[in-house]
Amino acid sequence: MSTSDTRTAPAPALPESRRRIHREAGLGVVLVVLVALFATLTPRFATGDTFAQIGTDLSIVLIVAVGQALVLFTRNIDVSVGSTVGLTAYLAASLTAAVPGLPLVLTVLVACLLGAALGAVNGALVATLKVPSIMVTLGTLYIFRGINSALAGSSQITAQNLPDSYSAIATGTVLGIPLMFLYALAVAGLAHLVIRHTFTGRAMLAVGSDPASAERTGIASKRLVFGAYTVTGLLCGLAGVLWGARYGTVDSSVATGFELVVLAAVVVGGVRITGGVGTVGGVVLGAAILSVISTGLALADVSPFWLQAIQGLVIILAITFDLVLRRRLESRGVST
Amino acid sequence: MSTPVIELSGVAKRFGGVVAVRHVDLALFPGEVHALLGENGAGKSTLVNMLAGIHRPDAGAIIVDGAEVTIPNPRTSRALGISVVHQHPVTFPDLTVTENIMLAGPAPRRRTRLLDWGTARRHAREALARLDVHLDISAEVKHLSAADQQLLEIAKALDTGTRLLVLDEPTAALSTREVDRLMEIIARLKADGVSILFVGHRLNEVFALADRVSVSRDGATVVTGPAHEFTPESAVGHMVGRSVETAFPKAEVELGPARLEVRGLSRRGAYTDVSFTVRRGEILGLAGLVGAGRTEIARGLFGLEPADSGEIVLDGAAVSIGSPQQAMRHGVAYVPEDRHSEGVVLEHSIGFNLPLALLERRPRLGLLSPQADRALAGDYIDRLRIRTSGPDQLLGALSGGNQQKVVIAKWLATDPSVLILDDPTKGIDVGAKAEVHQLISGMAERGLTIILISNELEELLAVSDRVITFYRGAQGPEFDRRPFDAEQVLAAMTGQVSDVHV
Repeated sequence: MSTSDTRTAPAPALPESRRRIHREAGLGVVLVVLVALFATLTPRFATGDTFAQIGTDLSIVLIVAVGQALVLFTRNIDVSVGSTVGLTAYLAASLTAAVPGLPLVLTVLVACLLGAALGAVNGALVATLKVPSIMVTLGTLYIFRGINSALAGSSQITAQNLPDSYSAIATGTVLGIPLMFLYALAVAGLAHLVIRHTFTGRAMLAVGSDPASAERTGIASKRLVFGAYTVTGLLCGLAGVLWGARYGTVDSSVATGFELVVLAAVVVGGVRITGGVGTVGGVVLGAAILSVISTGLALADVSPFWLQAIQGLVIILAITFDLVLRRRLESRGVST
Repeated sequence: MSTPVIELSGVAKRFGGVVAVRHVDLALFPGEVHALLGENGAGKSTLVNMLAGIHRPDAGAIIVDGAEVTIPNPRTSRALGISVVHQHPVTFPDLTVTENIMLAGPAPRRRTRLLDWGTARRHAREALARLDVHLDISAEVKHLSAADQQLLEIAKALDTGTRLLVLDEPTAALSTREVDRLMEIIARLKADGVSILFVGHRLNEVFALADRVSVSRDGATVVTGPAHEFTPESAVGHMVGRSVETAFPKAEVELGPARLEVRGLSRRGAYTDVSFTVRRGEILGLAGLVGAGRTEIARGLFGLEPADSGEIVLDGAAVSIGSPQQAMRHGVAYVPEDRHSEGVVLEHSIGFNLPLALLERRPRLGLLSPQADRALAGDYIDRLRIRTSGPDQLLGALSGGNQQKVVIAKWLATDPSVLILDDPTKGIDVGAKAEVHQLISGMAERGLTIILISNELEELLAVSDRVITFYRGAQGPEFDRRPFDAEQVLAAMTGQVSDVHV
């Protein structure tokens, strides 16, 4: 057998010139289609006010969803985010009410640290106990909520107990763009940088893609998992402050069930629930799509009784559309 | 000889109550290819994992350049100049080729600590070029073939600082062409003074390459010496502790009437115009490189990916096979290449696994009977001599060879008349291989029609009555007289002859 023959034989499949599109392209199309659809359904939709409203609405979801995405990347989940937001919202509001002169920066800092501490509890349990993360965080979901109820009882902190500057964090605008939205974009931008352009970020996806390989490559999986939960907690703390600032009323039931909204945004955004796949850009689009759907349906005078059911239906349609589009492109040799 | 690059002295490792490595002494010198042979369970992989920093020895010492070291994690191992290619690729399927290469080593960073993607991509291209493989560096690894993943694995391991390259059965998923390339690279590294530890059990490769050979058995090195002092037979003798046949001699079987006939079978992008006839009691070998279309033909016959055109004739009657259920109804059974993902459920018992293929025809009143399952399992455990504690043992706890027997038993339980075996001895011991060969031969004797696909030509030629070659989806020359000329078959399956007169 002469080796020269086998050398000149073209290697099978040499797809260096494969066309590529961004994974998010399909979601972008979905978002544009939805906006166009609602704009034709109701004239009230395509206005600056509505867009500002959507931007504000999606902010708190997006901030927490970015954290949730980090956790999902590592093949874990955090269902305690709603309770963490609730507890930090209550503590931040109580602190502000109790110490009126406290600089807002300090309030935010304290809330973030508290949230990070709660997240660290989750992270430490998941990383060291090797108990499935859904069980651990289901446990802490009830524990954090329980602490919240015990502290708050039936009391309520309302806008009257809070200084005006507190709500200003949430209601302000810059050049007509809601401040809240800018915070959320900043968080997403930073997370994108970490995930896409640092070793730590790529390693998080690696852990979720194949945990055994990560171990054999010497990637510090436990530290990354712990980190992802802690950051998620921190972002929940930030979200907690913003919640109080935005809605003005804080009681023991703040953000109950919020974890499902967050998960919906993350999953619509293309983050794989079993880890290893996803982008922060996708999460931004996921949160935007959900917000456009709920605002659009409300403006289109859909009966409030049917609102949730129709919302669910539109979400399923949106995801299906994205997947079908992506599979079609993939079957034509375009990688995503 | 100079001082060893790395020396293992009296190394031992136990997991719970199981002793994986009892006592290993091994010295690896610069510029030598050292082959480590042993059956599965001889402690080879544990040894590799200790060098890789995945396990730490309980006793003994690892000595690098004359100084004792501890290797607490894989990164330390790399830093010491040890590169390990594991038996199963250590890859991240959802990440790109570039990212996989980047994550294996120290990642290139800018002064801002952000990743330097340009350099990372250049590294990836260089790493692949060193191995002379062409892969799309921005493709996700899950889209690569098993062979390409294995090549990526090797490319990852070859960086400039490598002083010891450990290859743990690196050729399992590679075709002849790629193995040749790997051999060239090993020769080049050897000339550069890199020490190479080649772990495996494909003996012909080992003897083509190795300067020295060590054999380990039951967790201890039993013999070390220059390669020329060993013969394949003596090496196997040391591995199993007794002398065995490397391949079971094929029994002469009186062939019956034609059972399966294939006429002009084609599937776009996989194979074109395939025609052959197999008789009762006959073993037909399909020879070809990885990607020649053999597995696709098998999957076509079993209805997993039905052919686009052509005819399948069973006992003289044309049949259509559009799904595995139809194939099974016609008595066709297929033992797939990858038993882990397609064959059996490792987390369940033998009694659970064996009747899996039977589910469709068996239920009585729609209920399964655990007793019947266990009786069936017990029956096949005896007939196929599966070494196990009983029908309730989990499949994952069995050796590779015994798992494979369970997979074959699962299909035999459907009482097929045509059995397609796709690489049935992949990754199993030399001793167990001979047993599987004996099993195949015995099935043919009982009148079963067998189509055998194997990436080990030696095995294919030893077991088959007749061999058809395939090259890039096209049917090539056929060889129907034993003993076969391996050179000619190889030439046909690498596409270097269009016609051979036999």
